[in-house]
Amino acid sequence: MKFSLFLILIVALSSILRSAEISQEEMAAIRRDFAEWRAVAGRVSSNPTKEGILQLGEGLSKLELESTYPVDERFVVQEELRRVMLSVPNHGDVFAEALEKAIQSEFSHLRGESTAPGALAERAWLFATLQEIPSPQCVGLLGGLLEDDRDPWKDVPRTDVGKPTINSMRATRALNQLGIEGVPEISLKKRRDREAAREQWRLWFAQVKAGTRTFRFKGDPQEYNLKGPVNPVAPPPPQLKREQPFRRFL
Amino acid sequence: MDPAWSSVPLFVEKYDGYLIFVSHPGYPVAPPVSNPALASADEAFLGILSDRLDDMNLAVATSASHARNVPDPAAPASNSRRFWRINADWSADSDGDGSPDWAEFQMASQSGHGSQAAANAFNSDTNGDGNIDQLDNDEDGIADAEDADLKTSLVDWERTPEPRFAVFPVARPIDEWGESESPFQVTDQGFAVFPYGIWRNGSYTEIRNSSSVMYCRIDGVSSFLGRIVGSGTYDHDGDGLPTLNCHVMWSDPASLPQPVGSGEDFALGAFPGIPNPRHFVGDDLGIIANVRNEDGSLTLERWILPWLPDSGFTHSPVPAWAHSSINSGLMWGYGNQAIINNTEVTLPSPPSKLIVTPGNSVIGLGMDDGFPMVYRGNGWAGGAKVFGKLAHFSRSGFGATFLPTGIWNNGKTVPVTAAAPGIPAGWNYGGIIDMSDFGNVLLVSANHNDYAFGTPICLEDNEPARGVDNISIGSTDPGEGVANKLWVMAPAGGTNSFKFVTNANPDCLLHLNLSAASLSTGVLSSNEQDVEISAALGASSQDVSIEIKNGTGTSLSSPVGVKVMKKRTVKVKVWPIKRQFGGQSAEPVYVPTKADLDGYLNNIFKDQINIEFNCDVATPVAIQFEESSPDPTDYGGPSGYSFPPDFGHGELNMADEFEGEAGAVANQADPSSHINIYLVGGVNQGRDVIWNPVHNTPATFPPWVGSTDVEGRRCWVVGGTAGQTSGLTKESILGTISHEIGHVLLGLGHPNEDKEQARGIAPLPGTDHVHRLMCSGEKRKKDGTSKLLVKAEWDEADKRMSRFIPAN
Repeated sequence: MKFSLFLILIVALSSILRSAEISQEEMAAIRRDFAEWRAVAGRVSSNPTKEGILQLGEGLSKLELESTYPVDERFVVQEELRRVMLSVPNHGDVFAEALEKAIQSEFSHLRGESTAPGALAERAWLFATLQEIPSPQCVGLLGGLLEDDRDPWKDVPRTDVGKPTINSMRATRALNQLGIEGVPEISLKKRRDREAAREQWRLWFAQVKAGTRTFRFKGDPQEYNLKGPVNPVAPPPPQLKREQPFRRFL
Repeated sequence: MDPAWSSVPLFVEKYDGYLIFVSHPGYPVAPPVSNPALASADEAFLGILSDRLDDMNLAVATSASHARNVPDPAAPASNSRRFWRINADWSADSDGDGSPDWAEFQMASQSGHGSQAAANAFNSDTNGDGNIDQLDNDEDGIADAEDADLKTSLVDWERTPEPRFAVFPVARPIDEWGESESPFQVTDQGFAVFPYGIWRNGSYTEIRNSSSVMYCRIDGVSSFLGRIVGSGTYDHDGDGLPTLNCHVMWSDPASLPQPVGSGEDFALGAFPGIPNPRHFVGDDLGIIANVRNEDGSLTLERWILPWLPDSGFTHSPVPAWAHSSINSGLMWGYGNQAIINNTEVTLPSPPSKLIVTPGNSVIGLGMDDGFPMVYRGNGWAGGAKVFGKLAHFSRSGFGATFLPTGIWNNGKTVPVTAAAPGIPAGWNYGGIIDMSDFGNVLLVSANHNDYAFGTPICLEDNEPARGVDNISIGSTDPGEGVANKLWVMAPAGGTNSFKFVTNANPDCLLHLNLSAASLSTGVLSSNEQDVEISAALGASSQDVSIEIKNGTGTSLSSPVGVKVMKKRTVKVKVWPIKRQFGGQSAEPVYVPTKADLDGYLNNIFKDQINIEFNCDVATPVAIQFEESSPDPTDYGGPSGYSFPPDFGHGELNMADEFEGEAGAVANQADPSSHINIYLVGGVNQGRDVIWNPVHNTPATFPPWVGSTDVEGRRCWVVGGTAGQTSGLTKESILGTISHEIGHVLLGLGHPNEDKEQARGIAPLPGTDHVHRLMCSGEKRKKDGTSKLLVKAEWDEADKRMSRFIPAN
């Protein structure tokens, strides 16, 4: 008990100290952003257009960044956005389409064709979003991408910049981040570990796809298969906000 | 084979990070008795070479099977056709010295060429004096890097700014017979000249008669002073009956006509008039005109016209060739005779016009069966291949072509719709009727119903890389990053300064109107005008165009775009790393202060993409990252492999996914910073290491001094060792940091890469790469002047920053 109080004190103190480092101007900008993200969530909730869903996804990934929003309130806003995203049917299809468009843009760019600003970063942003959406649809999408080894950048010479990673490895990272229960955690720091993790997720997904395995997200007692909840559990409602330890274990 | 060809590779390809050249040595080479002992890097290279021999043979075989000296298969049918599409990158400049590879090969193979000794496509400093080679392919005295057209000495001037045109419709007056009149001349003063009036500033003014001079008509307007010259009938004895044909001048379209004449005789012959307005040149002494005599012959005369409006005129017709008081640089003449720089010259054939170039040579238009010829003081040379069908030329260095209609500049012709972005495509199929000395144009539409006045506009930064992009329009090939207009950045919450260079003057005012941002002036009235541009603090990023008006007319084209850039603060954390080894630690040669970093980065980025940097430098930390026995599995190798004892010592090894030693130094990161930078002391270079599965050995890529994980927004910068000479300096380290931050904001690629796919979002072939921030390290200017960002890069940075910086 004493330890818990001490921890709360530390967290509160660090929040106060961090807030002190943020200028009033920055704080005002952050508040305006939060209001805008909530407005996006409201619009998607009532009218889930493709553009709205993608914008909501942008908010989900952006709110994860401490460098962007160095206040803990971002988790509250993020959770609100996440709830709306999870309530949108077929959000996975929207991201699947966007991902395909993104990789095709990369192929186009490498053929010398013009691409929109940011198009070459889009795939990374979409994966950063998917890892924030613990839904069966996203699991299905990421599971399928574990077999996607297309590499637009294969023949591009290595320069002083790392080349974008293939989808199968990105999907491995995203599944690792998604907080799925019952899958041994594998650090992705070492090359052999990354490959082992991908293999493990491939095996896991083969079972899920075959219908021989269900899954749960951490903090949520509900069992899922790729179609949705399996034997819906009675309330309490799912606590979708993942616990801090599962945010990062790279 | 000329020995010079020994430097020309017969086969070049990049495999696994190595650029492999197969050359004919030009002399016999004895095979080695045995392979020498190889260092690990050489072994790795040999492995890759060996692995890739099959690929190389296949590439050569495929190439040969497509080569034209391979006998063609029999045609499948008579009249069959075969087509080849060849994609040659003429802009490739492997060593970045401003002289393209093709030119260097050409010079190297040409005995007696002035630049032969220095011509090496892969070495920009052949004599090793520390200065970039100044090659001159066409031997016109202009270094290739600056040459407006390095393919020919006929273009002997430095590259001139590429203009974009504002184009204003010119309404046509109706004559007394109900027909629409047509303009026939344009002047630097912004006049579109009609037979009976002048259009300027959007409106038409009919010329006036006076009580003594009547039945007037305009023949033309002098080039510099804008004096309007024509013919009329003069009442010389004041009896109210005008009877003598005479020359007439107007000081202004609205002024009364003044008769001018020859001596005491104002009379003209039976065929009065100046036959071609382009044939006379005005200076501050008067007008030079060609006069048609009674017998139909032409006489060139220079008319001294002191302006004495109340007391009559003193007119001194002077024999054309007798005058030496013409300003140097002016030339005039008729038929095949001319005076150029005070020297009488006989031309090979009559020109339609003579124009001084920026190189002080002379272009005679239409002299060579419709093509121009060029005079350089030692004779005339045909310019058909250089300029094409050049109909007009200006002292500003650009001209107008016909068939097709376009604007020629720096060796390249663009269609009218590209030179005047936004005008309807139909103008491409019309023509450019006239061009004034400094480049105003008179356009006619394809159906000859519509006329327009075009005036060139250039933008310049007051100092390099300050938020003007005037190079993205200059790409020699279409593709990513090519702009169709000039761009200037308007910083939200700030101000940028730049310069408009135009033909604006008090008689031809250009009014500017801009939404979403504001300009310090609303009107251009002089040739060069400094302007400040700013946007409101809370303005969002957006693209808008400057609306340009000339009098009541609004430009049909949009030559100048404005990108409003949101104000953003980017937080950067720099981690100085001291390599720890054997109880010692090595600091970088230079650890920047916050003030150094903020100053250097803001100097590059603030005026171009409106970023303000807020950097923080951590206390140097000692890390023992050198792997004494690296784990081969980190590099994709088998667990049983033992690295050579000196493998990668003194280097920062990077395994894939930014791991290995690089991963070890990046263990610490500041999550509240947008970008983390690791300045690593104790190493003079970094290397990416991969496993070569064929030879089961590690292979290394070429060394680097900076590397970036774009998605993780992390950069590694090699810092050298304090107290040791490594070539790394404060300037070079700050330059590398800014370049790697550029990658975080712009992604992968350098515009100058030899491999097309690695050139990033704005390759802009044929433009200056070495002054771009994203030019790769070995070719970037070492004096810190490589900092230019272009419009496509502004857009990319804007989009990427929107993903990690608050939007509001």
